[in-house]
Amino acid sequence: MATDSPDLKQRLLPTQFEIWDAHTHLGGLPGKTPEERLERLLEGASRLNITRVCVFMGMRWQYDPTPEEMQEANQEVRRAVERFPQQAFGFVYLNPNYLDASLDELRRHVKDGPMVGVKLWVARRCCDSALDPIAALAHDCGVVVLQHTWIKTTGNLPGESTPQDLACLARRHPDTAFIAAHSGGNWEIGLQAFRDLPNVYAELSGSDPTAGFTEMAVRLLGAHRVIFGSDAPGRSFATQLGKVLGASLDDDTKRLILRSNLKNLLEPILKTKGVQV
Amino acid sequence: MVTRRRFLGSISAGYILATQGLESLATSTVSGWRAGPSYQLIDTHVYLFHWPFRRVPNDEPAQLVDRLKRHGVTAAWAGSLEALLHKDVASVNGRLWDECRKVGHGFLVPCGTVNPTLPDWTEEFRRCVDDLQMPILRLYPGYHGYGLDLPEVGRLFSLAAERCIGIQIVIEMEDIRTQNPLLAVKPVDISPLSHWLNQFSGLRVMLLNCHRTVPSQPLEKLIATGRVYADLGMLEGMASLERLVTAIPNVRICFGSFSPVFYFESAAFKLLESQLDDRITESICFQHAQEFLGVARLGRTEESQ
Repeated sequence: MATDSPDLKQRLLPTQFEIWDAHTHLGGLPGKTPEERLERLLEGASRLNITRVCVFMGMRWQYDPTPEEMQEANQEVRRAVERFPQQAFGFVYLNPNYLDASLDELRRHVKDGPMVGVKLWVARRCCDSALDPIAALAHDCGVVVLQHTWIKTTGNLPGESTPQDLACLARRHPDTAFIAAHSGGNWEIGLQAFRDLPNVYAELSGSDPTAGFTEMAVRLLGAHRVIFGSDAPGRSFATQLGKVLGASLDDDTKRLILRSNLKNLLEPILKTKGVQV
Repeated sequence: MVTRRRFLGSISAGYILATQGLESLATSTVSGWRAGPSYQLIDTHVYLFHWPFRRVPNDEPAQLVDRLKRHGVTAAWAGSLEALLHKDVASVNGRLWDECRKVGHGFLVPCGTVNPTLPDWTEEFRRCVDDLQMPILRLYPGYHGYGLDLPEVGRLFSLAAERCIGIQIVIEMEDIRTQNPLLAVKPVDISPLSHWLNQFSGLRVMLLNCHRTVPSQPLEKLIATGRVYADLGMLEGMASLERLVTAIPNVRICFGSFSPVFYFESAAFKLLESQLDDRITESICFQHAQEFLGVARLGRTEESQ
């Protein structure tokens, strides 16, 4: 029985769920162009019934991109998502160390372009007030901010945000929606950091599929504040999807996590971009 | 009441299930695989009892067995999570053996442990092999605080080779970035392993959770010996299984879910994420495991004769 045979797939993978992935990248994929890479990514996602993906950052990994590098990365993502507008949703990658350039990028690609969210990585800790204009403009544009968060036992990068940093930013911007990418990695601590912040959503990507993660997120935040993401292609769609489909939760809760919560966040902006949801 | 003798009989039946390919692989197993009802999935990496740092869903042995069976697992090789930190290894192995008897009759294969840094570890080896009839031992060098270059490891491997015992080595249990800072355990360095493989021709090793930290080149060299296997634990990246079997065509990968510490589905879905042909899928799901365990059974049979 080959792995693409219907029998094995039916045995292992439930079919009653539509799945959206909040966290994917072009970096690390084969392909010379952004379009080729996204095509590969979507093909890989489809093997596990993932139909829509959010994608951000360019073909290279850059912790602290210059304005030119930021522009290049965003242009690559824009080219890719314009090729697959119904399946892939672009988030603009910003660097708060270059605030003016970041705001320009946000206007160019979100307000006046096809992108539908903001991605912040590890250039600067997000508790810094330098991020306030970004959070405010994201709110004005009606888009969510997806912020990388980790608490590493081995020590964070200098500009790497913890969930506590994100909680600090989210408290200052209660009307802006934030997705806590990775839920802090050390998720038992991370989830507690934003329990009382209804504008922060826990995202499940980018860590080992340790059992209990999704159940605790639902217990602490409620099913409406938990979102599936994979961090593919660096992470496996398989391992990350197992966090939800393997969790001891009912199907309605899994539906919220796998699609509805993200869809509800993105639907208004997607409609303005002509995407059918 | 299940007596020890009856349990050993049932374990043998379980082993026969897990190793039935030795006699009939070419016919019933492969055709059964296609037909569905004889679907086989040997999970080479599960645990009983509690992960020391959190309670995880389905961490009661009966729940685990039920869940594995519902997912179509036909045999599971179980270690004890108590083995990580307990110093009374004999009682750890005893409880593992008892629990496998109680809840996993003919299904769970107990994989006891030996800590070669402890006094009288050879007696524990003898007890596992002779009294408890364990065909596999699972080692935790990271948690037991030794390197594979320790001379006692060589002695242990020598005994394992002599008695046809399969050795599983746990390379890591948890991402170092998420460990409790008071108990940070580094991944095991496997570089001394090739020396021992050269020295003991009967030694067979399965690496568990090796893919995050063992680079592909050393892994490829070990695989080339024909006596090193690996489970698919901590294998990450899109279509990672497909890429691994393409990069190392002879890699002996076995299905291992690392349940209940990891979600079972995370391992199972890897089979779907990669495009693998029949032969490779079957080898991952059961043939490599049968091969690993089968050599032990044959060796033990010859020994007893």
